[in-house]
Amino acid sequence: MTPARWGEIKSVLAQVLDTDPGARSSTLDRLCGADAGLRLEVESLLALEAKADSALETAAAPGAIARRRWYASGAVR
Amino acid sequence: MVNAAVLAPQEFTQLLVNWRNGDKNALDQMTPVLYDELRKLARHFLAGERPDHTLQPTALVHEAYMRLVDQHSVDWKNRAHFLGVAASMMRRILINHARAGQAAKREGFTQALALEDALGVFIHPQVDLLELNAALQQLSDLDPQQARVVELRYFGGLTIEETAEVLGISPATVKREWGTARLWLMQQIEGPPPVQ
Repeated sequence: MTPARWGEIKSVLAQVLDTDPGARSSTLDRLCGADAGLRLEVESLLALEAKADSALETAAAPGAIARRRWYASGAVR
Repeated sequence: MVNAAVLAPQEFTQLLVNWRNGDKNALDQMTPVLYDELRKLARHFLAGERPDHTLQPTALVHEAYMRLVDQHSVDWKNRAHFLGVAASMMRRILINHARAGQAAKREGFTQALALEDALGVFIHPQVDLLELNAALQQLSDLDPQQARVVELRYFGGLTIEETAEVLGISPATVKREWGTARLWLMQQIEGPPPVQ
């Protein structure tokens, strides 16, 4: 993947993520047009949403845990 | 290669300044020093040599960091900057730690045990940190700003607003970068989608 292609996919993905689940398909139609490859890429990423929600949840990430401990210890405010 | 034993606080601070000014090698040089310091602190802590038994494991990271920094020569009032540096450090430490754990397992002994106990809070992440790190490195090549957003959010624990402040971009952009990066990283970790 090239940075330019990722930029394209990212832009569509971000707009679809901002769309209500019911309207996603039509948003994809509008944004991808005839580019079936683009749509496939975005859809395969969207399919990972639930997994990413649990695996990469920010509240459970090392950084968030560390900061909560720092706050608790009074070291950082 | 930097020797932890001979690195004075001013030298460590200089590395921090260099890193802030864009010298990527500086972080490579700082990490083993901080990691060493962390190990030493962990050993003292676990041996009960510290009177402060309530010290939290992750406060060790902070303490090690503060001990290495000559606080008078750098303006540390910028909280966002501190958190930004800490995020990079945290990533390096956790990845070093994951690698050390893997090596110890391979070699059939548990030399990293003391640190593992001290960092106990870290060692049960929801993803394989080495896989995540590899994916994040790929993302850096593709989209450096987005990779930095992930580092700050995931390893630094920065909020959307703080991340925006560190990077000088809007909170909306941070939200978009993080939201889309998560899915991309997940895809790298999970492997390519099945061919239809």
